[in-house]
Amino acid sequence: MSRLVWPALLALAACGSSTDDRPRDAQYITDTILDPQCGGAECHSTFVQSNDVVLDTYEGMRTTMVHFPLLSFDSDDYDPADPKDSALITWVTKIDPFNLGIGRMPLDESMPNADIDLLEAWITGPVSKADDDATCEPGVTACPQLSDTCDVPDGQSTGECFQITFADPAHGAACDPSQFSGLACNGLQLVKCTSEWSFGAVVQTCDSNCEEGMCQ
Amino acid sequence: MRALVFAIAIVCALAGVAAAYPQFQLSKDQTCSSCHIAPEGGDLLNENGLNVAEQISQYGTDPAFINGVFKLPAWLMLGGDFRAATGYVEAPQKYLETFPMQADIYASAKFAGHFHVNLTVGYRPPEYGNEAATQVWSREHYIMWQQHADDGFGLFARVGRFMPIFGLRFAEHPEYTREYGGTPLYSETYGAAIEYIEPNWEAHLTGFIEDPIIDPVAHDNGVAAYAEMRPIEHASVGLEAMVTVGDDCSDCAYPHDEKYRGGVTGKYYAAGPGLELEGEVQFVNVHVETYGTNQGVGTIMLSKFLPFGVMADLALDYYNEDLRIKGVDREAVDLNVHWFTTSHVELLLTTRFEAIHGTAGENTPTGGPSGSYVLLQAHYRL
Repeated sequence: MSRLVWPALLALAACGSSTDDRPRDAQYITDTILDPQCGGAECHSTFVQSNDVVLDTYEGMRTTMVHFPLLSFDSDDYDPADPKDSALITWVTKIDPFNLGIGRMPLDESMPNADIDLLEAWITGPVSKADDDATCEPGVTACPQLSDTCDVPDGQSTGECFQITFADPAHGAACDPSQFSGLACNGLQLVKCTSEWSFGAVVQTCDSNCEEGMCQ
Repeated sequence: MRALVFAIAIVCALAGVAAAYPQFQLSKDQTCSSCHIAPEGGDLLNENGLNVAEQISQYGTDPAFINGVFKLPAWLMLGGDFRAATGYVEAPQKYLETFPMQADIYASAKFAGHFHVNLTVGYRPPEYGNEAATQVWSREHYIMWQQHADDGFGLFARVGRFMPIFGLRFAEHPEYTREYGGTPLYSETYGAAIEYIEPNWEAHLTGFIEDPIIDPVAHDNGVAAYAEMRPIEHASVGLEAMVTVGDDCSDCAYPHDEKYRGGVTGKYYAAGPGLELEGEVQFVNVHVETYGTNQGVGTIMLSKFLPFGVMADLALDYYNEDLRIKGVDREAVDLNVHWFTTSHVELLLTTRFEAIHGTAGENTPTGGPSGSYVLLQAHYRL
């Protein structure tokens, strides 16, 4: 019997498109990925809230992302530029996250790489890249703008300076509109936090640092 | 502190409640209600169920409540289940752990001829912020009317807190048709059901709401329907459907998610070799905001009844969280060996190997780390 069933399961496994066009949206991610895999009764459900983390409802998830926090958008710890280094992705990819002795999440079964890729793409959000017409050399010549990124091609020592804009990272769970007078940091940009818990209009671009809803 | 956090985390992932074995339907009797007080099975056994418990065990002791030491009045039935497990888990971090699974006491009182009050009280994970009051809770409590006072057939109606009746209702909650199939662990809630059971067919219709008293596991209101036909003595086919509307976000543009589940079940018992094959396949359509996602869930289990009170299960599970997307499916193979030593004591070895996207490796875009566990479980039925 298993000679028939197991190949059938593997054939089913081969189904699907390699292009992941699932929505980069907090509510969708909660209902299809985080709730089924992390929001189990005795884990990150609303009623147990293991380690103060709630992932079985969208309301709980966005509160956890912003207030726990599992994501950071302050300029000195800006997850959209490097989502693999965010607390959320660290918890689902490292064997012993933050050396706490708790273990990789989910504890009973791993998350598919495709879901982790989707979480990273959601954290980053849509990206625009503008050439600043300047060159840079890491450790030697900095880009003219603090917010520029020095993009060095493989095998070369100098690169081009780009202004990379993360317009809508972590849509639906980026900020809390009731916190910091409705303002939030999106890297160096001080922005309004919308009622959808996403970044809205830019209020000002900070000169050096943006933390906890204000330029420092 | 580090060890404490680790232990709590393990219990969080693996503890749980187990209920009746659907493997016994067709192999031991035609319906769940032939052996259980509840029409969908689980919890308290009736007289026939107690006899089966004695017959299948190796050392067949008195199957009654506390081995028959206490004589209960005819209108009252008491029972309980206690389970603990120990073993090895790799997911992919490796650990050894011992943890409690279940400590439940059951009571069923019969009154006015056709009515029952059923109550299940026991340990459950406490509600956050209300730990002292919710460490012990009632998973199930309901009033049931049944048409025939003396057998498990005919019409049943009940109202209260219980699990919506849906699908094969595997005892092992990690089976994907439980975990991802609409009846996850601790998802009992308030509802009303009307059920009809005959030897060759049965139907269950449950309407349920999100638990208004404590934070629920399932944040859903919905309807579940399950019907099963047994055209011959040792075979059954079933149809299932469930519609749920989730209370996802009170201040969102799209405050609800919706799930539509439809599926089939089947069972066949081959009396000669003592083999029972049972399976359940679900198609799930999930609506979140304006997006629709199609999912697939399935479990197929082959059980072999062996001498000396042993039953072995080989199960295959499949879950695909989005049928359009490559690499988000997972498959598992389970091998469980039950040893019913006495009428009250069961030792159970449960093992699982799980892969993400079939044979894809951990380092492929469409793969993920595989996982496994080997757990030895001890079960005492009061």
